Amino acid sequence: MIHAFAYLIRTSTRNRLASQARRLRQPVYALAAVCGLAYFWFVYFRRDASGRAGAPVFSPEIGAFVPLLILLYLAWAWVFGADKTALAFTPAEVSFLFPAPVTRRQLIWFKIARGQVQILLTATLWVALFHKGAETLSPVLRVVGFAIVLSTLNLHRLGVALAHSSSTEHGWRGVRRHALPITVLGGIAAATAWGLWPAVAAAWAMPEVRGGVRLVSLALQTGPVSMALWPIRATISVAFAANAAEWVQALPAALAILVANLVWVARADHAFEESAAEASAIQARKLAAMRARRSGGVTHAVNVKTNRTIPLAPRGSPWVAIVWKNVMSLMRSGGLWTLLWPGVITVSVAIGFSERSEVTAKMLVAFVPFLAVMLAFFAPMFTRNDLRTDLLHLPMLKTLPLSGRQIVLAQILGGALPVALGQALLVVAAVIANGNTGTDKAVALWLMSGFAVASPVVLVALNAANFAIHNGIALLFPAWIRLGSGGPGGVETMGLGILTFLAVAVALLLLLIVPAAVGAGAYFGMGAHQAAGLVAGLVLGSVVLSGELWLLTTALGRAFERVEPTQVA
Amino acid sequence: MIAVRQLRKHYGTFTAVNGIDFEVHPGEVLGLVGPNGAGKTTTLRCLAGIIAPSSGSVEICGHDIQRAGVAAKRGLAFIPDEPALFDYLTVEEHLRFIARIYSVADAEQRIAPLLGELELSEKRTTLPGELSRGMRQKLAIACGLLHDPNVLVLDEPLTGLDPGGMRRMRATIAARAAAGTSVILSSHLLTLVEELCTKLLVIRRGECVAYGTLPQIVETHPELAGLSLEEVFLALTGDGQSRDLST
Repeated sequence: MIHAFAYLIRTSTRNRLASQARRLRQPVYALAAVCGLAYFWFVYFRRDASGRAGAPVFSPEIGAFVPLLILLYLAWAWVFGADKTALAFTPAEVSFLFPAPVTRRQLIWFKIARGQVQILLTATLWVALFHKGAETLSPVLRVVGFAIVLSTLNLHRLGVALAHSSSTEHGWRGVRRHALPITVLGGIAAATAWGLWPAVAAAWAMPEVRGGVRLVSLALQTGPVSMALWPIRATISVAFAANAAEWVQALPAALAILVANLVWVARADHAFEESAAEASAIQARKLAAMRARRSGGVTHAVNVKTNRTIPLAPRGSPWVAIVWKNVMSLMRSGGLWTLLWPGVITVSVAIGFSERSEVTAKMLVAFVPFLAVMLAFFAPMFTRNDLRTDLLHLPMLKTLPLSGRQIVLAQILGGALPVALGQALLVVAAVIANGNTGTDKAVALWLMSGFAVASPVVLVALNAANFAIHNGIALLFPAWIRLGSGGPGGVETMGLGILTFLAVAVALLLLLIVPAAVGAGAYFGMGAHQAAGLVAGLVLGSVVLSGELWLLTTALGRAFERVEPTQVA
Repeated sequence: MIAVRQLRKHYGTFTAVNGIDFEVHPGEVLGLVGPNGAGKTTTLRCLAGIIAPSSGSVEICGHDIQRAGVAAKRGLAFIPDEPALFDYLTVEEHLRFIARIYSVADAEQRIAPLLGELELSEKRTTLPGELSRGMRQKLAIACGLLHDPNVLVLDEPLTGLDPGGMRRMRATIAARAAAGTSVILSSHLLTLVEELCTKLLVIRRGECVAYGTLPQIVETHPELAGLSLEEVFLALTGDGQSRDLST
């Protein structure tokens, strides 16, 4: 069986790479590859050529927070359930392997082995992207170190998913089967929280942020918190080792934790198989549904409530139907609420507390722009209710009596409008909170009111630009990106996400150069009328950006009309 | 009305469709038949505007599908063999979506009878993920029929349907043709083709090997006289293996 699995992984990987390499014959893919290689040459070899000593990726002060962030990630997975794709098999794997004479344990071993290919690729990308100056550790050892960290996190994520499946089927008995990892992680979390609390409380009372960060960082590196976080620090030390000696020293502990996770997953599988055998008729139905979910999305919408809908009139601009469809999809997949809840919560806090507490008001005013920026950058990563999903329906979309530009524009707006709505709520919260910051406003009144007036236009234009780039990448490089909302996720596919993120950020910056220049010109042109100048600058900049988007959607529309289903496969 | 002139489609050096000509007038049902890989689906996809022909032209209701794609597609419905449905729209919402896309003003009056006709009334608020394969196919058919198209392109329309559904689908196709719709039907079910189609287009390796009514085809190939449609098909497509295997 191992030979069959090895053959499947080897040939699939080889053929996939060969297929992607063949795409380089197409000019657009060749150009993208040249740009990508040029980027790596600049960030990697040029830095090496400079001969400067490599600075660590993080300063020790900030680096101390990395184990804490990983602990929070793991705790989140345990409390709210690991990513459902952790247990996902492809439809072909379900079709061929599930009915085959293969044990569930073998299936999970296969899944772990298959994930290593992605992990190795991601580790290589990470090392290349975060490479700094002349390294004192060989890139090969660095890649191996990152691969160990990613494998450990991936295994833990798989174990959490299995534990959740077990608890769903067997309740408390299912939880008991995972008592050891729950105790270990729970112990780490409790000890960390207990040990860190005094430092956090003291940092809160400090007048400046930097001093507070230093204090918490120190607490993370010393005393009981440092001891509690040792397993996580031991795992990541192998990836961040400064030289070969440190790497060798860190390796045994990292490998031991990797093996411990491996053993846990194997044992979790045993419990899982055992539980399946014990299942009653009802539980068997649940298991069948769960197995179906693994196939990649046939039944993932089963529990979606369909009683809530948005009316759609049969007459009017036809392309609006696509915007409606995409917003409906976002609403039913839970994505709409994810976009709106930061705004809803901040507006509630602003109304409920900011009048009574000026500190709360000031914190809100400072925090809201951060949330809005996070939403702008990260929302398009998880709200893929646009061409990144609909290209899977390309034949159907192409039979619709709509021009390519109309379809592309509707797809962009279907993502951009909900994000803009989420950000508009944040603006409302900021305006309310700023009004409660006393006579010495946190943000000058003219600045806040100017931005609030212009925000509907600015937010729609900015988000449309962002989504246009994401959709453009999907349309121009459909064979190189993951289409659909499901599919493999987690740490093993982070590399592709980082690359996409970089490409989007660069493209967005280029797209904003002219609108920013025009907006700045309008602002400074208004002289002393600061508020009016700000509104004029923002609106004019948005208008110019909309003009650019018009040209971009026209070009993408033509690309949509040219793209064929075989190119998307 | 459908008019196809010298339709060609190349994929690199491979020619999937090579110079096909045919017309389908209102009320006619053209059966598109051929062995696997003959170029049937490629031809249908060119007709529906899903892929662009390498050369030649396709006219739907007088509009060139490449130059005036939006106008051509307004009168067209393409029902594929594998229904492509949106995960998060219910059965009824799929029809509302199509109604808006095709500006069907009396959608409310049409949706309920159409759902009833296709036995989907009880599934109005159901998502596609909860539907059986046959139900999904029925929904795809309902979406295709809602805007009362002038041209109906069907690729293996009976796939996944139960016997009752198949019978109703056959009756629907016949009724639409009788009402003046131009229909193209691609299927390996030769009994279906024989029952519904007024003329045939037989293709093999991307080329037309016979076109016309069955008597017209027999007239140009006298050696086929007296043979069943299945035997005519096997003779025209050169698939002698089946007969060899049976002997």
